[in-house]
Amino acid sequence: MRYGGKRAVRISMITAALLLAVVALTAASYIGRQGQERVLHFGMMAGSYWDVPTGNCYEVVDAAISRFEEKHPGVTVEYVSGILKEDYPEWLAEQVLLGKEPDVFMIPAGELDTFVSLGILKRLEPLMGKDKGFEREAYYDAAYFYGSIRGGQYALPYESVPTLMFVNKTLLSKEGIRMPGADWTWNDFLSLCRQVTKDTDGDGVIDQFGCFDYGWREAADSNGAVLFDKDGKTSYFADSRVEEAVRFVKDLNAANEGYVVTAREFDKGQVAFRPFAFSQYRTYKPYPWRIKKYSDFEWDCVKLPSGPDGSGQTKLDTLLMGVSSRTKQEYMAWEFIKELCYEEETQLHLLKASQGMPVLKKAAQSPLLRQVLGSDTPGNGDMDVKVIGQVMEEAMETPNFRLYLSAMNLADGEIGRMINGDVSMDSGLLKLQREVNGVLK
Amino acid sequence: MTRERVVSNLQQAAYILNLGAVILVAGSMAYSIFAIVDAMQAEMFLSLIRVRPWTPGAMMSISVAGYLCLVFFSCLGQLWDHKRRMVRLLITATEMFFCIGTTIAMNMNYNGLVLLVVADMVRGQKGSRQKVILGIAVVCLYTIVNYNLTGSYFNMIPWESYLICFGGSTQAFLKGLLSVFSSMNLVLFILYMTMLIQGEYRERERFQNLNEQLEEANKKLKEFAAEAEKNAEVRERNRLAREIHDTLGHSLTGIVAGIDACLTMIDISPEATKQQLIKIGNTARQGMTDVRRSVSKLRPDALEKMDLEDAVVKMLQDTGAASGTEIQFQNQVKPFKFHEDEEEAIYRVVQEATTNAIRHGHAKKIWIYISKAEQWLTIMVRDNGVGCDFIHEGFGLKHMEERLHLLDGTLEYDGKDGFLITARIPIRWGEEYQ
Repeated sequence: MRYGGKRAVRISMITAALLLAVVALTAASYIGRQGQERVLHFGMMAGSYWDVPTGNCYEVVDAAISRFEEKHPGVTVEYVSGILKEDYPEWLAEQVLLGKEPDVFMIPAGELDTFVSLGILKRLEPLMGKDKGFEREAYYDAAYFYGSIRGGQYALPYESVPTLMFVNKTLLSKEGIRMPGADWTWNDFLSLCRQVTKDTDGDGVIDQFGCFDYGWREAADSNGAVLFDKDGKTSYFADSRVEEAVRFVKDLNAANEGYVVTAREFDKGQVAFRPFAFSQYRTYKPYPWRIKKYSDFEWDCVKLPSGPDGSGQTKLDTLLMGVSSRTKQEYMAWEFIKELCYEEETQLHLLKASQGMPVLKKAAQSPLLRQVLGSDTPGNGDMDVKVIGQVMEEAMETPNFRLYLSAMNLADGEIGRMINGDVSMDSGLLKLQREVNGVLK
Repeated sequence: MTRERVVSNLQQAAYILNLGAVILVAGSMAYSIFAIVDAMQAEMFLSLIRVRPWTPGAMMSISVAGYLCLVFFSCLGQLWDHKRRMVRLLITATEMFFCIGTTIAMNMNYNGLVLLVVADMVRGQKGSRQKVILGIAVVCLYTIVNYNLTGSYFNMIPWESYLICFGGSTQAFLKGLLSVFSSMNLVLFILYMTMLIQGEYRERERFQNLNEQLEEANKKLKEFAAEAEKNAEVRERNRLAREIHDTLGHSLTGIVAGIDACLTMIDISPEATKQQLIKIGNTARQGMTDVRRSVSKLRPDALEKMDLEDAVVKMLQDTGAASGTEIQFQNQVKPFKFHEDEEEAIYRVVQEATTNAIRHGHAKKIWIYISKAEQWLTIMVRDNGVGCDFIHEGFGLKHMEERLHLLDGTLEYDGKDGFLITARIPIRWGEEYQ
């Protein structure tokens, strides 16, 4: 009987071994099929990342790919075209679930933290360390550090959009006011706004305004307020700089004497100032989009005015690219992400074919910028190129922790009520800070 | 059905049942990923689980392959249960590795595999120290594969998250199926353990029975031995009585009768009396010869057949072999040949001392040293046994002493460190050289 027991054990053992061989062979053939050719996959979204009209969104990438393929014979780069910005996160998540995420891909806005905590992104420091030609100082700090989270660099910036103050030069010269300089302050801004706010055609209704779209966020940034700590665990809404900002916005709104200014008034040339993203600026004036807006005023850009405790900083919006942590071609993926984010030629190409700013200082400061901006603004517009460089240089990095957007939405609502006077500001900010901290915990 | 067959069947059933559970859990996880992608819920799913899951293929193949490896090594452990401890330990460690690996591949959503490993460990364990190790190992193993304890630390994804892509009734069915698998597995494990423990209990009982029988037999054997000894003694006494009656009795009767005749005759015929006395003398001599012959029959058989040295060596060899004692015999006296009574005494002293050392001293080693100085022959018998502080009669010492006294010899003994016997015999060397 003892023998019978052993025999049964032997049969189980052989069965297990046979099944194991079947599983192993299946897996091996699957893996074998996968790693045959040297194809680098790239994930990108179609259209403009900045939500502005765009021409051929693949132009820069296609050019970069052909340069890359030339430098690395035998390697081809493939990407799936036509994935819209709103579908891109879902598409990327599906690829991650199926284990087929691209080797290099664009990171959807605000998803860096989630991606890093999911372990999807490769940490880039080891690759940078091996690459002698790579210097992180080539980037604007705000752009570079947007890709850094949880003590590691997980993404490289590809394109940035700074915020500038759009000034209606026609309106100012009509009022006999000189263009504000780079060192203008909130007080200058407020007094200019009060100065231009008036009824020009005498129908008893105010039809000329100081500013549009200037909110507490711009005010807080330009006053040097830091709203969150680095880890996104604590907020500082009760800070005096935030309070000053909210008070300032309240004063500005009061200058409009209760009239709610809209984009229509701005397009009609009735508003003197408007904070504008660089991408919007790029697409505001040039043909064919200009046609839609009927605007016929001259304009210029300046830095945002500085608050009492700040220096007119703005936030920098940045499009990031990352390398998949599961990539089988680590070196090639690094070379390719460098081709996109570190190669001057690609970055200069962005100036011509995209709406953002290059993240490389060298590319951003090139004379090409003046040419390109000049061609975008036929005749009547002009722009001090140095302003953009300065804004990029001074920009603050946008927090990239996971709950940033929800925290800011919560703050928008509460502070909006404070500005409208529904809630007291003294206790309101402290209460908001507690509330936001509760969300962040 | 025999117990072994039942145990073996239970094991097979557990293997198949767990394979079913592994395929159910890993399969549903892999399938749900495709379903989630089809339903365009990938982003929502990722934000829900907060961890990147394995790809469906890896999940499925690693779970199943890991489980099959576990089964393979479990079987190997059963086939190799007679191998060295190191090998068995290695197999158990491998089993634990695959158990943990497979459980992690299934995101700790099924921890029934631990029972397989625990069953194997319990079956293979021997000795109480191993029981402690086994206990620790089982606790560790359970801790590691328990989702509630370590799941979040290992970034495991609960099965429920995967099941969201299924309808409510399908979810309920799958959960029910898994719980059936789990309970069945537990039932099998308990049955298996019961059989195993029962088997062990029976084995122990059988051993106890055998032990009792052995003790009984031993006791009987001792009684037999005592009886036989008594019988031999009685026989010997009878023989002695007969001998004495036949030889000494006969001669003495003749001598007494002769002397009586002499007493009557001596005054009448001194010559005839003389003749008579010569006859009586002859009878007495004859009697003495007879006594000698009788006594010679009491001599050890070995001494009859071979010379003293060979006889002593043989006796020591036999005793040593029989009792498992190491005996060293050193004799410096050459030639080793004496009178019969002296030889016998030497032989008996050595024999008795050795027997004492083994029987009373429980010695493992005995040294025997024989030397001579002038006319004295010295026999020293030393052992490494328990010794004895208070020496009492009955160790055969009295007997030895008496024997030696007959030859004007002495006996000394000391029981402080082992036991040392020193016997000294004055040898009649002169006669030896004749």
